[in-house]
Amino acid sequence: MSKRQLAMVMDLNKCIGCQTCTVACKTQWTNRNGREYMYWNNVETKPGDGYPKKWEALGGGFDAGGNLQDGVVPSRYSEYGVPWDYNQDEIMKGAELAPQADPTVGPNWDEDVGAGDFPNSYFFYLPRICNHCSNPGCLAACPRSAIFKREQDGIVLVDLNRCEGYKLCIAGCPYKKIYFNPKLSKSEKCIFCFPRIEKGLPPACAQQCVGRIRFVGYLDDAEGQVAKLVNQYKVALPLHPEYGTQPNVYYVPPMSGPRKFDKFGKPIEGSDRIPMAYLESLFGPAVHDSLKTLEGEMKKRKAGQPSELMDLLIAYKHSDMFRIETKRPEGFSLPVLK
Amino acid sequence: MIRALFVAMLGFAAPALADAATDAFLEAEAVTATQVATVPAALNDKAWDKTPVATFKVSAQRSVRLNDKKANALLEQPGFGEIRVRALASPTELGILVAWNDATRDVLRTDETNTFADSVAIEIPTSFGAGKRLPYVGMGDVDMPVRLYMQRAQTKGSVANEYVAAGFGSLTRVPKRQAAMAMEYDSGTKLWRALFIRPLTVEGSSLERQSLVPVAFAVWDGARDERGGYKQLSAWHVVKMPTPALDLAYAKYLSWGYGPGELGDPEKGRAIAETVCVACHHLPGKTFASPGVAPNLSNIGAIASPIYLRESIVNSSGVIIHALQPNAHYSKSSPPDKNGAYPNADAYQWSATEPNGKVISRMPPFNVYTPDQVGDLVAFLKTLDGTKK
Repeated sequence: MSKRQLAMVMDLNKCIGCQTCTVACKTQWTNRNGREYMYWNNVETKPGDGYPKKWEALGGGFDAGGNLQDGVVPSRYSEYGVPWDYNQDEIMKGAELAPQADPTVGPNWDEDVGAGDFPNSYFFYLPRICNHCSNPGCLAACPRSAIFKREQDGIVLVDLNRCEGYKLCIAGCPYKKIYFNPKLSKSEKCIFCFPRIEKGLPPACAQQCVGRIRFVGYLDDAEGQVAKLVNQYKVALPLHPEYGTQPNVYYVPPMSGPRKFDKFGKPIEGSDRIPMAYLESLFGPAVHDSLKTLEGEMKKRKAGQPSELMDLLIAYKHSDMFRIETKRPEGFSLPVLK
Repeated sequence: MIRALFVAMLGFAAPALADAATDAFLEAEAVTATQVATVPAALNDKAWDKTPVATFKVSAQRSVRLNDKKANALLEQPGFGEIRVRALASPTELGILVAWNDATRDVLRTDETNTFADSVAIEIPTSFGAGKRLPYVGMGDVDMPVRLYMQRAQTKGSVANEYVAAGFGSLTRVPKRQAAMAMEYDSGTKLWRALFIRPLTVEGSSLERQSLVPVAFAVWDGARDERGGYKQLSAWHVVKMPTPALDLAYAKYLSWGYGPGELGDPEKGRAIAETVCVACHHLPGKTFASPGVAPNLSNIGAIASPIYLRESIVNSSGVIIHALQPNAHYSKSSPPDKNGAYPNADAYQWSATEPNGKVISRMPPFNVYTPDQVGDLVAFLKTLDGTKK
């Protein structure tokens, strides 16, 4: 497979759900030519149906033996949602603000709904891009070898000259992060902003992130924040590792926040607002150790002791979050884009 | 050599000398092209009605299994069953008209992401004739490429493309299309008709001076979510050209298995298949092997000709076919690389490269069987036409 792997870490404790990443990506890549409905980057509320709707139930990925699993190709009408506008001209003439369609689903449909009952309800935001997996389900499904991982950084790309629009990649991706462009009849996906990477810039979603939640770097760069968070401290975890694709976007799981309240409105010491079982269903059993490490380091910092992990996560300087020097394998030359 | 010449001369003088097998083969598998000055480019030209029609079976491709849950469920519903084919030949062109009944007209949509278009394709081997074997029917194989002509229905007409292919996954567009194609749906009779007109000679491939032109067909039903490998395909057929006289040697090759008594006893063949072949292949009701290890043979008789079946048994490496989804299985027992990636599982590759660089089939050649036993096996496989489980 690829010689190196570029990866992203997202600290969910810092995500404020502002969708600036979503807009950065959309204006850069998906506001035209049949991509209007696509969100290569989206931020969804968890627990929730997400985007496309109920994507976690649409199959794909691998079983425990490494065999590709059947999946479903979502519908633009019932799972992604058709983009709509509002009657901006009519409201100037006295009309009520209304959508110019009857939408039933959309990319942020269940924002902030979450789960649980007041005062013990809970939710958190989950930004999602293509995971640029080490064993991608999309690549495994393509009968035309039109999907490949770049040698120098493991970015997963579609060769549009070879794509015949069979959509098996969409069924094969368990994260439903590869999309069908009905205007071009080809599959398209997050490209990890590789033209920016090649200039040493982070992807647009990471650059524009208001909450400074996104780290970008190579997994084998031991001095980099990404490798430290993933391999050294083991606090950053892949989403749904059981899907078997070896994702390369990692998440610092959400700490539980305020404790649950009892019937008198008093905090219950030691209670978890976000059920651990739910976090485990997203990030696997490693989430327990990750949260323990985070809590321990946070305690240390509160006590005035140094904590490299806390300093990393605070990210004093935004530019420190990106280590994208383009070290290329010897003899490698960049393909010429036509 | 002298004998071959003699046969060829006799052939020119008296084509009726074709043997019983050839007659049976042509009766079952040939569409006769009528000679015309120019092949009409219009689907409704009267010339098409005047040329004989041949009816050919089409059957869902089950040799490979893909990963679309809904399409896999729809695979269990009955398909089109048959297509009707006509052919016209001019001194410079071959025209083929394909017609089939389809209850619904499904076209390429620019507003939806999970629908599929009714489509049709024909394929012709790049190189064929006496002394050359037939390519694998599903888009050719490594040594025997095919030229493909494909149309996908859109709101008006079709998106037409010309391709070359040498096996699964190798379909490559020819930049400059030379064939003329058209496609039309009659909503009254619920009938699709599609026309393909190709020059007799294209770069690297010629149909000239050939009496039998092999051709295979594929149709895709959008309503069954068919596209790519989800398709209904025919076995190899031939267009019997108006000239020259029948190439008896090629006809004899193609028609092996059609003569009386040539194929042997299907029940004896079943006994071999259900004890040996099932180790890797699926047969009706015998699905012990891991899916994907080898082609599923449950309806192989509907798409493979007897001669192809014989060759692929006794000389399996003579026909190299790569798996359609070569990356769909990774080896969990192998150590992952430094990025956590597991390598592909070898067991699911249908071909392998030997240390000397030679590509071989992962199926060993079963040349231990006597010609009679091979005949029994082919007879059994030909009974697997998808009509019974």
